[in-house]
Amino acid sequence: MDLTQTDHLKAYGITFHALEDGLKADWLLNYRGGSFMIDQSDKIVSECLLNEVLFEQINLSQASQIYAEVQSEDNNMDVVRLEKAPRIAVYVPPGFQPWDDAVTLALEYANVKYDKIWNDEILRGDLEKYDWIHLHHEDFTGQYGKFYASFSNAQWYIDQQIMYENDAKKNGFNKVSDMMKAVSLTIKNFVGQGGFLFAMCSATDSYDISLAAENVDICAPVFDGDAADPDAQSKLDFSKTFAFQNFKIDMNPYIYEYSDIDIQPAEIGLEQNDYFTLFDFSAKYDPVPTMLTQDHANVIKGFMGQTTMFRKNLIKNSVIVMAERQGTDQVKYIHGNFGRGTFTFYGGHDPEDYQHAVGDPPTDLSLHKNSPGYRLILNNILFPAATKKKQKT
Amino acid sequence: MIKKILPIILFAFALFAQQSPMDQNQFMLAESYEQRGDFVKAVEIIETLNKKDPANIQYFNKLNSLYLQLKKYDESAALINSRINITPQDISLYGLLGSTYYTAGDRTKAYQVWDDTAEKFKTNPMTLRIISNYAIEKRDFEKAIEYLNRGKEISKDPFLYSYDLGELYQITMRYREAASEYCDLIKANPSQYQQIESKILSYSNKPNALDETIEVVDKHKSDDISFSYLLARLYIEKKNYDEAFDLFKEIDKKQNTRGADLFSFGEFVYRDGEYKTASEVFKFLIDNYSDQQNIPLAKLGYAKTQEALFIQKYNATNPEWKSFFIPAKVDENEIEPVISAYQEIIKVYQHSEVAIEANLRIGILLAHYRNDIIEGEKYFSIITETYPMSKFASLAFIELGNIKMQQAKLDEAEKLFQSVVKLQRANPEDKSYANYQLARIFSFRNDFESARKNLISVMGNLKDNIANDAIELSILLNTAKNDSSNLSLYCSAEFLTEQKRFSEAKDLYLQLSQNPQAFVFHSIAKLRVAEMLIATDAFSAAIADLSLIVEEAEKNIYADKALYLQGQIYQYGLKDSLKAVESYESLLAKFPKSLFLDEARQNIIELKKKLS
Repeated sequence: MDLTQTDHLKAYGITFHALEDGLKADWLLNYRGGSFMIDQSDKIVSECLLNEVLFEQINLSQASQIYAEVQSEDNNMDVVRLEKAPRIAVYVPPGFQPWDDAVTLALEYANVKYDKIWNDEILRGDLEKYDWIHLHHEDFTGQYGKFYASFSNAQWYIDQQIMYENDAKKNGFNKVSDMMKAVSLTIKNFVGQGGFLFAMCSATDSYDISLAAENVDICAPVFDGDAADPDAQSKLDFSKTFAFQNFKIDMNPYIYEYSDIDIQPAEIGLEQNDYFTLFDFSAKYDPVPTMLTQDHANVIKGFMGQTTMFRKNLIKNSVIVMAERQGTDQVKYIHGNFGRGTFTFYGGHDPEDYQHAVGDPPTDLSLHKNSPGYRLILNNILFPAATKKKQKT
Repeated sequence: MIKKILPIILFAFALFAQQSPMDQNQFMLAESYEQRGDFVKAVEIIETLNKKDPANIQYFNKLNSLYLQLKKYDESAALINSRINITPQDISLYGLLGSTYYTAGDRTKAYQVWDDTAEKFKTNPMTLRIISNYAIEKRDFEKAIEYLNRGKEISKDPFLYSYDLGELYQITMRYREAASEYCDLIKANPSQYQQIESKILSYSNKPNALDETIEVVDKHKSDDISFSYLLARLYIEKKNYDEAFDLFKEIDKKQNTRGADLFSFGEFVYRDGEYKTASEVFKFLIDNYSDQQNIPLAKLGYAKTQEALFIQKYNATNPEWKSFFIPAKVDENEIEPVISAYQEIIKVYQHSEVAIEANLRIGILLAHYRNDIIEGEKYFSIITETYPMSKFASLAFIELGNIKMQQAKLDEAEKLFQSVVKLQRANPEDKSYANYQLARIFSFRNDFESARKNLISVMGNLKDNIANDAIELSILLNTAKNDSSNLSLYCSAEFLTEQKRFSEAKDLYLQLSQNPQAFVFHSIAKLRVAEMLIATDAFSAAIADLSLIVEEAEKNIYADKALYLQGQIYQYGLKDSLKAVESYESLLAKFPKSLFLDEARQNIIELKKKLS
């Protein structure tokens, strides 16, 4: 899927449907920007035509030539067999939200089936029904997104707080922050047992902060009714986090920031200079990061979010950096393992809306069919379908 | 004023006068420590100051807030209790004590303190309100509701509590109870109706809120007219316009507003596109209040809603999917009331722009929908002859020009389109269209040079809708420049098509398509033959012809359109959804750059939905 592809995003949906129908697909890593090879069927052809996805019908000998090229030691390419469509869950609150979730938009656009789950489902153990969970803009620290200074009087904020409080009460927690800790831990167990976690925007750092603050109150009284622990910073346990360590949390409710993990707009500078670069991995030796970075462009337009990028020196050594702003300490896209599962964090809110503000309309992906930023999201939904190969390194 | 300010100043003076400068400095030092986050040091200082002057409210408040910051709940409780010993009648201290227990996570103790306080100070009407405020502060809305309800029960003025209760019920999504409280408020003071209405509308979009509120308000309908107004507004919100209409009729009767509310309602519903109800409302007004000031406007509204309803219904039967067609037969019973409504306007608003527009609308209804061009012509002529300076004149000229073309009266048509070009008030789009039609008239007369000249002015503005058609015609005229006899034949066929003489036109197109000399016209002529067959409902023959065009593939530039038309025949003509999908899918596969792809995709999706 190089630059000739007419709709990169829907191509992922078609591959996903093929897997759902019991077909096998081969992901040809780095072959023409990362392509999919699937046994021909009228349904797939019709779906490609209907969705304006460019496809090429090839014969057996052409297929053999492609496999030979991809598997040749001279090329940084490889084949990954996709076996089974992953069961996808997206963590999203019920009802109206004044922002949109890029992953939900991508899944809807690519017509990929997913379930919306929320605290009740997670706390009652429903995660075991899924292979993959996505977290987007939600706040796992119990500070309601730290929107207090700007939006505490907005109806959506008031409604959201009530909804969280009701959830907490219903699930036997005195405080929302306590419930969120339990939710974070349940998700952590899900990953530990082999689940795939994909988080974007503020779900990345707020999730890790919540894990670090498992045994300490970091919420100001406006969030949970009692004071935060004045020594909270020193009581954070970084051994419990997935990706970040040694960060400094910001407990001031009037500051729209969780910690120093996030890169500030002033550090990013001008929008026209904001690009991040995908790292090139060895397809044969590092298939996982290679899969996650399949794209038709390796320099991609940046985009902001409540959490835009991650400060490099606060990322744990065990974590793989997959994209960063070259020449800076600003990291966009990371991946790591925990237990038998994996996590991937992608900074920013919407790859095709530079500054997606609260209340902005959703991005129309039919206008961004070839978005390299969105494509990175969709790599993550097919990655769990891959057959595990024996590690070469 | 001086009397009010003086005690305040004296009180403040007394408060600070009690503090020595040293204590004051100590207090400020503690505040600095607090700001720096060193709560322990701040506590040490304030504790000393508090010991020295236990009656000082400033020290008390600061110390309590510091204890809470440090999560020293026992100390906070002890401090409050010591303060209670000094001022046992201060209800807020009990509220604060409960609040400390609540923050410490001991809700049982918190409730006990609050409940005991409510009992102890039950004669004070403010007690339950103060206590409920502490519960609200701790976001324990259920408990706050409990206290407010208790207060409402024992209070001599229960409506004092209804507003707060309404708010809390709304927050906790108990919309039925919220509505009940708000209804109590309206009942107590109907003048508050508008305020309450906006309060209810601020949350009526929440799930179930509207239905539950309607249910409650409906029960109060007979209590006061305000409830009827509120209910009608809620029905509008729910888009239940019929119920709202009935209610407005009732209000109109009770209040004797002579249709004023109904008229506003009718206009609102019309703007919302709910033509059926709007039409009924305007009809009701016309029938019942013929002497009222806004009746002429109601008549115009009625005519427009009637027309909108008629067109909605007509479009469903008109074969607009065909490239050329004879309009569907119109039901006289449906078009007649619309025409009558406009005629009524012409009578009432004589010589006004509204009446001129009504003439235009009647002309269009007759010519386009009743296919009665002779009658339609009369109405257009009224505008062109009597009101040539009207903003509707250019449209009337265009309509007349089209009628004359259809009647094969090219000289008259030319004059009419020339009038549009010369008309100062005509907009550029109308002028472009007139120029395009003039070019066609010249081509029908075989005056190809004049036709080309006219097209140049149209093609100058590519933003114009007609520019594409002009380019297409211009290409044909230029390509066939050296084959004037076949060009003439083609234009004759087009002229017959314009007159809706499809069979005759088909013969000429067929002649062209089979003439080896007329190779320039082969592609378009073959397509036109099929289009003429479609126009006369000869679908099987059309499909056969279209298949031949499709087979020509890149040799015929209309091959993709032919396949698309095949799909359309199956979809709308033969109602064979499967075959239609097949044709559209084949279009997607064979012509990936076709202009018809988006429409084909859309049709596939709709048909597949229907099939599943």
